[in-house]
Amino acid sequence: MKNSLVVIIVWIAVALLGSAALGGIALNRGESINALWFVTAALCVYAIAYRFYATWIATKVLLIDPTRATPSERLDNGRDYIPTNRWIVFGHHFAAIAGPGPLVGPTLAAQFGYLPGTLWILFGAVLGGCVQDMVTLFYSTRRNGRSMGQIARDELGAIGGIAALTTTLFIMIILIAVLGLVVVNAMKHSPWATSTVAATIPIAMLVGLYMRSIRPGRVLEGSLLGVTLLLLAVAGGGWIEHQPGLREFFDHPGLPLAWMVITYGFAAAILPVWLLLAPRDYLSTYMKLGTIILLMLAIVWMQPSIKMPAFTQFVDGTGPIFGGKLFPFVFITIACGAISGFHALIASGTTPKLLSNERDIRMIGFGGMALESFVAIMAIIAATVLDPGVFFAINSPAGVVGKEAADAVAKISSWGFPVTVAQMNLLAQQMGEATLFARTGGAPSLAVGMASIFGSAFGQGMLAMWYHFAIMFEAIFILTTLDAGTRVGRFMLQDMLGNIWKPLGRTSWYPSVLLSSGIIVAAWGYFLYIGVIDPNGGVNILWPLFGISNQILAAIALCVATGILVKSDKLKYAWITALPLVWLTIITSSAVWEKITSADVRIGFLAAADDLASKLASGLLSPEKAAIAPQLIFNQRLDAVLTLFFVCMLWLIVFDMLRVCIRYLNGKPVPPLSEVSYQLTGMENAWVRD
Amino acid sequence: MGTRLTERSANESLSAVNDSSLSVFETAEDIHQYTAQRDTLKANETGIKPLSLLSYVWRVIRELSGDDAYERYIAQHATNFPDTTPLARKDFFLYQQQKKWSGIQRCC
Repeated sequence: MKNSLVVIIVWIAVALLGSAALGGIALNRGESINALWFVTAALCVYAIAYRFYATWIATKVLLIDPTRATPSERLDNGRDYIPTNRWIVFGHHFAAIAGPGPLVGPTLAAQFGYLPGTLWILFGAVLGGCVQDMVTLFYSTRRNGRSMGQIARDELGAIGGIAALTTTLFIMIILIAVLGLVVVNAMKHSPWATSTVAATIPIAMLVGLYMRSIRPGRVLEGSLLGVTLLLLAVAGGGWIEHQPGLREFFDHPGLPLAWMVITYGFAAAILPVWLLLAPRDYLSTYMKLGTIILLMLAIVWMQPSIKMPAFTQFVDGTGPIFGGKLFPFVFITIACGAISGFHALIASGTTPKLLSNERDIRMIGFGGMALESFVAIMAIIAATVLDPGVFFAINSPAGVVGKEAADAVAKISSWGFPVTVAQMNLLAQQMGEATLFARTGGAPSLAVGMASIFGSAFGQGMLAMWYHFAIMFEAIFILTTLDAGTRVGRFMLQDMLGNIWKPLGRTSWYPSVLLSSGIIVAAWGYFLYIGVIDPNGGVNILWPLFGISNQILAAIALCVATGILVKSDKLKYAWITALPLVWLTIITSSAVWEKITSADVRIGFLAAADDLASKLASGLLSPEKAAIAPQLIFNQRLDAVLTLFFVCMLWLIVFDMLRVCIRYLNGKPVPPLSEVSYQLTGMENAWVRD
Repeated sequence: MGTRLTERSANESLSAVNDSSLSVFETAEDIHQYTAQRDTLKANETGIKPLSLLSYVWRVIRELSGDDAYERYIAQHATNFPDTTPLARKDFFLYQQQKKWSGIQRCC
């Protein structure tokens, strides 16, 4: 009795603290605000959502049953299905879902001010993303760990399965292209960054050889060796930067770098996994976890001030980084960190095959996403601790603010965000870069933000080192996503091609491997190439495209979940997935509508294509612009078709889900629930094998 | 290693399942109670002492990174398939890598 009173008081205190922090963030105007309020607000929101909402979903809606044997127990074969300690599963799941997305999206969305992004990250996560991950994990666990595409086909019908599969393939291609662009923009004319990123390739191969041949399977030894070499590579890059004659080898403009990334992507896709992909993934996972923890400690310790206002004038759609109003574009720009459809693929992939007890679904599904959302909050802190003028100078493409430094600072200062050429030069010098102007993509500004936080926490003398460490850290796991994504894309394509001609479906037949890898690399390579030659910075085009496709994948996952809830006679609870589904449908549909119909050339694909075409026809373009104009025009039209395709897929599956639900409620036959029947767990204590 | 239930206790659990109040978590308290019970049992079994904390952390790191994957595979193999020869360390490692990277493993 006394205990429960204490518990109630503690939770009331958490609620009050959370509301105070949120209120402080939301209502603060004019003055700078301590970053610790963001951390406090976030932790309180996650704690309350986890303790009450997630528990309620687990106990009342999903009816999680700890006595029920999970697939890992029933099908335990020591290879795919392995009952695993819940903390270990949590670690694997989190490492799989947390990529560069929650770092890049919030940084770009900071152009609206700190508040819209922060609120969407917090509430989008606990009401949308966490629920999606948890529910998908639950349904996949009840279905032997089947993938989302298969579940969609079983529960809704063939249309759902096809929609899930094709959207996944397209989103993968767009995702790789935009991430490639982020890396290219970070390496542009930076011998330090380029040489460090280049060094990660031989380092990974060395680690791969170590783990395969020298000390087979000794993952920790190999990783320790690799991490040490990576840190040396960061320092070595600084040395190369100052070696005339050597630095020129690594000093390139965007286009050659893009070709290098494309060539690299193809090579990585056809090399054996043990040589490059697997060892680099080990390194990137340690780097990722280490840096996130370090950033968290530095923020709590240094308590930096947020200098960005709560809202900027760019909520009206005139933002320099990407065009478009607050609604719907903040919700499109921040996908990962709030809700990410890609997670549904992880939650219906390896994770359910490792779960030793259903009870852990709340912690792994809901908790894992809450942690990723927290990473996004830290990214928004790192972006907004910069002077807004500096933030915009780094992130605004040359096509918007002008190529010359003087023009750019004049333009940015005229928006009310004062910045000077001297200030930018000093900053570039401190970071060991020639220039920081027009480094669109999020990685450099995040690196500057992280470097200044780390620098104030651990010593200013190392700013350049911290900056390049942050760049290396982002590049290494972007490249891992690039390799892994190309491979998965290749498998999916081979699967499809196998239906046309059997041998093409054989994943080990080399001609088929070359062909399918080539097609996938060409597909993302095309978007990367266009993004690099586009003077307005391809991020303006590619990131919204990625956000839309990722949200549509989330909507598909939520459709499947809503359909299953209705078919399990839980209509009155179906809103837990139906509400985020409705919201995603609204924001993606209105974003697509704007991207296609807007007359603003910075928003509408078709308007931009027509504008460029008329300028080209009347000879208004400079020769070099005229040379690339036909490609840009074609690309804008292609993007319009793509977004239309995405939204058609979405509506198709929404109607398919509604059709199945209405038929079910009217007592007509529908595909039966594919849930595996109950089996009592034989594991008395579910921590098994740790 | 998780303890497999004896026949008797399995029957007891089965009767517990039939009593619906125990088979499914009804309230938040149930989940927390379950966690607490489980953790107590676990602490008793592994007998966590200050000295063993370090070795516990080390074990978690090894398992999280997959460093001990082969040892766990061998132990599992000995229990489930005692009549067949397990894979060699290197072959197991290669097989595992190949399998891991044939599906979606990394997100955005």
